[in-house]
Amino acid sequence: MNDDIFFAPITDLSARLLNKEFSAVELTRAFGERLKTLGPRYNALALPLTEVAVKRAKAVDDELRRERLRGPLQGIPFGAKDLLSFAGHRTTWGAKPYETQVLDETATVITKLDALGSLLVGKLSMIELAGGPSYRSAEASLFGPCKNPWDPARWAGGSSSGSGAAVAAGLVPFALGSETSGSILSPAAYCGVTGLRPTYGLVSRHGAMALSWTLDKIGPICRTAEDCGHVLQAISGGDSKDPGSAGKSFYYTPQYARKITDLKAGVAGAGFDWAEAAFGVLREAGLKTAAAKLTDFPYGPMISTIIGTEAASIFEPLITSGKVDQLQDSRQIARLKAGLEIPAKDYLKAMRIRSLVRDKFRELFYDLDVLIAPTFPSIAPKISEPFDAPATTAVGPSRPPNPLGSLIQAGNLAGLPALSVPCGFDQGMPVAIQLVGPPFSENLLLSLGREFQQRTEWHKRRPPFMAA
Amino acid sequence: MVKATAVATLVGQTQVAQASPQASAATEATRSAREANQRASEALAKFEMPMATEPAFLFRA
Repeated sequence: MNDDIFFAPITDLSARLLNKEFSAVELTRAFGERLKTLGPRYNALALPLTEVAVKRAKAVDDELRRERLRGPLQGIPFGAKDLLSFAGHRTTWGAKPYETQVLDETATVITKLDALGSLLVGKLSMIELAGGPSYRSAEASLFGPCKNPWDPARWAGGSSSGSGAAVAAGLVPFALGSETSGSILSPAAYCGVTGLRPTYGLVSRHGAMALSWTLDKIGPICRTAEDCGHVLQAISGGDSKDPGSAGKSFYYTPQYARKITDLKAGVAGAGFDWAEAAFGVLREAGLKTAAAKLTDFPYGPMISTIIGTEAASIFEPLITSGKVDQLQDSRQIARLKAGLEIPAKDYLKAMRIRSLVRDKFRELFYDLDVLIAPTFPSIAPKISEPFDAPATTAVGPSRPPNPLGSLIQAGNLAGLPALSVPCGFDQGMPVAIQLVGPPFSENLLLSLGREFQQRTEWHKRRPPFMAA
Repeated sequence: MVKATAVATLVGQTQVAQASPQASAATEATRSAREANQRASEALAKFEMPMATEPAFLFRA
């Protein structure tokens, strides 16, 4: 198979499958073998599942022959973050204490994709326990530091590290990741791919490791915004097995998208030329923009208190048994232990302020349809640098304060959807903008992302391959 | 016997010397984690809001 296949969007692969250019078995075997061969070079692979997927692909080919069509994901291989359970197979959560864990149930999102004929070719690496309350370096994973396909000396981002790296390196057409506070957007931005964090409650988390009940979300990492729309439609929907479920479905309807000329965005480029250039592309398409600023709230202390408390409660048996000391990252070990000491008053205060954060966003979205800002103000850090080392700044040393600088934390606290799209390169590494909208505004974000990607080529760039 | 005791003492000292950097790193990480909790607690305490503000979760019977 031509290498172009490995970097084609889902929509293209689906059309070629229906055209009988190749079968689902051939496509699955090609991606499965590639993932098995190249995945370990990036430390992106947790568990290969090629043979299981090929067996299932035979049934999908039968369906395609009988024209029992199930949509654009039928016959398309994918990878899943190793925090999602797949019955009868290892699910490690990226952490030594769970190295041999085998769960009985399959995560709802994987079951839904399977029902549409999508094929799980492998589990993908992640930061241990999805990062827990905090971690100090890229080494915080059972699989080793996940290498960025654009520069293997740099990190792929996290905690959905393998999901970002595998899509960027053309090892899977799309992957599932999860986000508690930045874990989809970070690998998507650092690896130059498109990531969607859905509204809290839109996608079932049944069968996923819990880190923070009130913050965890599952979403897709793909090549394009359009692909994210198709995957989100497949995995969304109410689930009585997830107490956080909003009981809503999502239908990807680009044909009904509001005209870009009717939309107004709040923007803050933080002095980055590449962000300003990206806003310029959207302005040329007719988007109206205005300067935007987040209300001052203690976003950092809130999110650390909420994740710290909920994670310590979830992992209390791990902490009290002493097995927590088997984790790689000393900061995560200490933060998990200290999480048991956070007073109830602090957790409740954080959750009360969170109500006000949600209300302020509602007010902000009376006037604005969407917020747009750099996803991250820095390129992917070097693996050898701990995260508390000074950031590798994308451009120039001095920079004005960013009025949307806490957008990842604030957006997660308010449960808002976000789309990260690649928008350029700095020092040879991808950079990205994030689009954040009101709850359940995924179609709006995806239509803007699609518009941007129809006018730019950044999402089509391929990383150089690592030396064998 | 004296020689054996001296060797054992030496081995013991080496073990202590090897263990202590790890132990002190763990102690430092614990201290740092507690300080982070304390800083967060102080930042949250400073934030004033209406008494009627309810937390962002709801119990459903």
